[in-house]
Amino acid sequence: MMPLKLVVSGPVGAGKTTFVQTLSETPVVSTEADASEDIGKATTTVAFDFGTLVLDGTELHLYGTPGQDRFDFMWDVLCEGALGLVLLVAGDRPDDFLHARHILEYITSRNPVPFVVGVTRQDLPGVWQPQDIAAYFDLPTSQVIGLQATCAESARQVLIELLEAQLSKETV
Amino acid sequence: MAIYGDFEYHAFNDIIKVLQRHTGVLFMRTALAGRSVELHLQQGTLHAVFIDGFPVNEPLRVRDTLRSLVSQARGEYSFEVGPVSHHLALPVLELLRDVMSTSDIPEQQLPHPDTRFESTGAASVPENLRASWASLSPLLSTGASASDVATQLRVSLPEARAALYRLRAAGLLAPQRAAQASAGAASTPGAARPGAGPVRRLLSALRRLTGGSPA
Repeated sequence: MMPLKLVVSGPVGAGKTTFVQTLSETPVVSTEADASEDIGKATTTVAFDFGTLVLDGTELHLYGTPGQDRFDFMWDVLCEGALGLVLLVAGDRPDDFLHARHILEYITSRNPVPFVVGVTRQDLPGVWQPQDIAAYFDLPTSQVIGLQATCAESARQVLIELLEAQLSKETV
Repeated sequence: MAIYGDFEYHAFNDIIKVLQRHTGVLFMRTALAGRSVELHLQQGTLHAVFIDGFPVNEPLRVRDTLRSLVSQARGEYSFEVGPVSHHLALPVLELLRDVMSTSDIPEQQLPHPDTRFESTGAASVPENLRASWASLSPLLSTGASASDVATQLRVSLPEARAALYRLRAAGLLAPQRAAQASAGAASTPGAARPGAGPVRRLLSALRRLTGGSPA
C-alpha cells in the first residue's frame, strides 16, 4: 500500500519542525541551514523535514515545508497527492498572520488538498485564540484548532480533525 | 482573549473583521501620524471614535478617519473587551466597503500574484467598485489569479493585485479552494488523493491512541 502524505506548512517559527518531530516515530530527517537573513532564529528549514508514523499498518509520511517565500516552489511539489495540509501559525506572533494567510491561500487555491489551520503555543498567556484567527483567515471556526506542537496528544488531535472533516465531506 | 499586533503587518480592515463579534475598545496609540485613535465597537457597530481623546461625532469626519486608517494606520494596536461609549451607531464594515476603493493599499497586503480567487456570489456591489467588478467578474466566475487578470485584461500586475484585494475586502471575492473546486470534477492527473479506506483506518487508530472511540 502506498504511504499517505501529510504536509505541514506555515511561516518561520510557527512550530512545523517541532510538530513533525512530535508525531514522528522515526528520527526526523531535517534540512536545517544557517539563516541568511534575520528571521528571529539561527537556522531554518530549506528543503523539508521528513518523519514517519505507522498506525494499524497504514504508513503516514510527514513533510514539513520551508517557511520562507523564496522556497515557495517546494510548497506545490510537496502538496501533490497529499492526504491533507496542516497550516501552523504561532498564536503569540501576530506579525506572521498575514504571511501565514498568504501561504495558505497560495497553496490551497492551486492544490486540491484538504486543510486545517493549527494555532500553536496555546499553553502561553496572551495568545490569539483560534476563533479570532479563523475570522482573520476567513475560515469557519471548525477549521482552526488550537494546539501545543510539543504535545503528542494535541498534535494527534489536529490530525483527527483534518481526517474527520475529509471523511464527512466524502459521505455528504 | 488577546487581540493585538502592529499595523506594519496587519491591514486595518482585517482587524475590524476580526472584531465583528466582540464588544470593547480598539486602542491605536500612534495610528495617524502619531495621533491616538480609539474605536468603540459593539459587535460590528461603531459607537464612538476618539482622536487624541476628543470625540469625533460628525459622520463625514468619521468616514474620513476610517479612510485614513485603511491607508495610513501605523504602530501597535490592542483591543480590550469592556463597556463602550455611545455617540454613534454606524455599521463599520459597510463604511469600510465604501471607503476601500479610494484608499491606497500597502504592497505587503496584496495577494500573491498566483493565488486564485473566485466570486462569492454576493448580491450587492458597492457603487465605487462597479466598474472594476464589471470587467473582472467574467474571469472570476471560474477562478483567476492576479497574473491571469493582468494578462487577460492587459493591466499591470500591481493594478491587478490591488483590484483583487479591494473586491475581496468588499466581500465579492474569496480565495478559491482547489479541493472544493475539484470535488465534483474528474480526477486530475498527478493529483490522485488517497481513498477513504486508508484514511478511515488511520483515523480509527488515531482515535484509539487519544483515548476516543475508534468508530
